[in-house]
Amino acid sequence: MAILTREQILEKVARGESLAGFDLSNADLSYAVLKGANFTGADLREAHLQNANMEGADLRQAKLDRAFMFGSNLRNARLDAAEGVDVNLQDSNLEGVSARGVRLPHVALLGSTLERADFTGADLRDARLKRAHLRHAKFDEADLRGAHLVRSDLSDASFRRADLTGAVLTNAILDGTDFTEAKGLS
Amino acid sequence: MSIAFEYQNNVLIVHPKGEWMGGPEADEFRKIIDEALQQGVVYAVVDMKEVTWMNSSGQGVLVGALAKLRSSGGELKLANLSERVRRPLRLTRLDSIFEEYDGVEEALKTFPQD
Repeated sequence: MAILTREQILEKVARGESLAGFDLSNADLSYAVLKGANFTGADLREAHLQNANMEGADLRQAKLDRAFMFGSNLRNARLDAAEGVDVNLQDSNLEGVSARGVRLPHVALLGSTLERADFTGADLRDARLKRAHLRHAKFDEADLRGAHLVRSDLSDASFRRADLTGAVLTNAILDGTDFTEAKGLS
Repeated sequence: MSIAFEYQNNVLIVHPKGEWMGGPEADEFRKIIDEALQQGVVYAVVDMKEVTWMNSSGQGVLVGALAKLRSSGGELKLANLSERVRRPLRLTRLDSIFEEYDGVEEALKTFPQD
């Protein structure tokens, strides 16, 4: 369980103090303004972050198992090497996010915006990306086995050397999408 | 999100800026709508020109305002929607319940004139 209350967490963020490495598991931070907050390596497992505004936040190497981040704003946030299973990022804004090497198998990203996001080398097995907006996003060398990309917009996105074995791309928009050396495409 | 607003010819014009996410940030918008209704203003235009992103909670706030204004005999119309903001409205089929215009002036012309 989190060692800080919601109020204490928000005070720290407001003062610009780092929350790197803190145990924030199960914390209720829904609807909170967490712009630019430093959560590097923090434990956010099962945290409630619905509709939280985390624009520009640093979540590198954060633990995110079952974090509920529905409708959150993560524009230009850093998620590199973060990891978690069953993370809910549905209806969220991940525009410009840096998520290189992130490990989020079975993540829910339905209807989310990932425009210009960098998911190079990410583990996104069985990710649910239906109707997501992936324009100009980068998924080079990502593991997207079994990912669900139905009706998503992949225009000008890059999937070079990505593994798309078993991925479903029915009715996806593929204008200018780069699948060079991608695996599993039939 | 920040919100500016003005009145023109008994029509409320709201200018939100940034991410439209619902929640506490939307309380100000609800207050603006309520104050307009208290003054007898039942027509509103939301100028979405500077809205960069909108989630489902934000859509819910718009729908709530629309319902409130319509129940008072008014209407809420949207102007200057970018494709990225229109898209979630289309996905949820809410685009069918809002009247949408290319600009605020175009929307204003559609309201009954005094």
